[in-house]
Amino acid sequence: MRLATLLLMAFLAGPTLAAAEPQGTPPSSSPPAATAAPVDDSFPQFGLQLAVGAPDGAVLSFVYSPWYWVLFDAGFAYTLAPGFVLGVEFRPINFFISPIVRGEYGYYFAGGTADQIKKWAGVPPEQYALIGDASYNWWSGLVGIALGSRRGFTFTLEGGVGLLSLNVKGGSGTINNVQVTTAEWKAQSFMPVARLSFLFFF
Amino acid sequence: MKRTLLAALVPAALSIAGCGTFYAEAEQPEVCLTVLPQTFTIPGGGVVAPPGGFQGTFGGQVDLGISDAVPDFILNGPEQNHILRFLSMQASLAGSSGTANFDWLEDLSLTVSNGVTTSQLGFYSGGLPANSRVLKVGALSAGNNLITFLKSGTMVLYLEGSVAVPGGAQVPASWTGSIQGCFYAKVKKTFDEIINSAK
Repeated sequence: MRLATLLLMAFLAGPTLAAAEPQGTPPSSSPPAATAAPVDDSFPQFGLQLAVGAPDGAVLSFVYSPWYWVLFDAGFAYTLAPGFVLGVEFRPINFFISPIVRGEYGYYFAGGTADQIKKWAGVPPEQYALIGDASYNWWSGLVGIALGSRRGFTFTLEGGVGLLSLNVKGGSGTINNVQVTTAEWKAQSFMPVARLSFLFFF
Repeated sequence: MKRTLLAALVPAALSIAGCGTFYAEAEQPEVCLTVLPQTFTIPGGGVVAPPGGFQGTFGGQVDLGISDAVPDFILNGPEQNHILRFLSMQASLAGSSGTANFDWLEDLSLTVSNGVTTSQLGFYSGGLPANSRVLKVGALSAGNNLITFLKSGTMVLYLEGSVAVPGGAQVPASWTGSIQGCFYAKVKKTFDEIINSAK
């Protein structure tokens, strides 16, 4: 019971303590963690991350972190088609719980995306020929929280906004005796985005 | 902790409050519809023009069938976010046409109607090279929007032309050609509209 109380107190006081006393440094001499940016050899620099989200899909990334407060990731993604996601993430507080600010770019190559568009949009089969291959990409900005150790495993939950662009090839077909030809077209959405990730530093 | 909570709550608040800000839009720069060759009869044609020449008119309508092909959820919403713009119309004489070229055509007006409202889309007033078998008419106004015609369920194009044939030349009785209409389309919907239309 006492342990639970202590843990709860540590949790509630976390950000303040973390800002004042980064792990592994003497309390009296340490600068605020939010502004400190020294190279710290004690933090692992490489990690593997598994993320799921929208519009990310499922992403397996390699993570490089030159300083504890910044992480770069590049990963292979797959949802309706193969793709990739590139991201940069800031974690200004070195503590069990930390806020996150993240920016990312993702791209999905043409694959099964067009087939899903036809099904989701309820396109009649006779109009399938008018919709060619589709690829999409997005830019997004997210904020969230990270839980866990910067020296081991962390779990993150993020949300934000993104601008998604869908690029669709045109096509040609005959509908009700009318020959229809469509040029390449584009759809765009300004939308909420969300992301869950599991990161292990080694 | 407050800051952390804030960081977690901000995206959730944005998502809830932003349904009117979030949107999806699709833009089709050009979709062209070509109907099977149609025959337009020229009243008083099929004769040799008298010495003073022949003057006449003809008309006909073309249903491109767009009304049936566009789902309702694309049509419903503010007009400024739902655009169907006429770009051009092309008439190509068929091989079996009753005339070898458009030399006899003096002018051609293209209008659209839904039975209640009529709007002129394009106008040809001569200048076609001799022996031309293809006629292309561009939009009179680059900012036209036919969405109200499409919403009404019927959108029919009307062709009305003038014929001028010099004396002694053959006046065609009719002409047969395929008609192609090309359009630009754009639809924008907020998440609010999408959610409400799904209810």
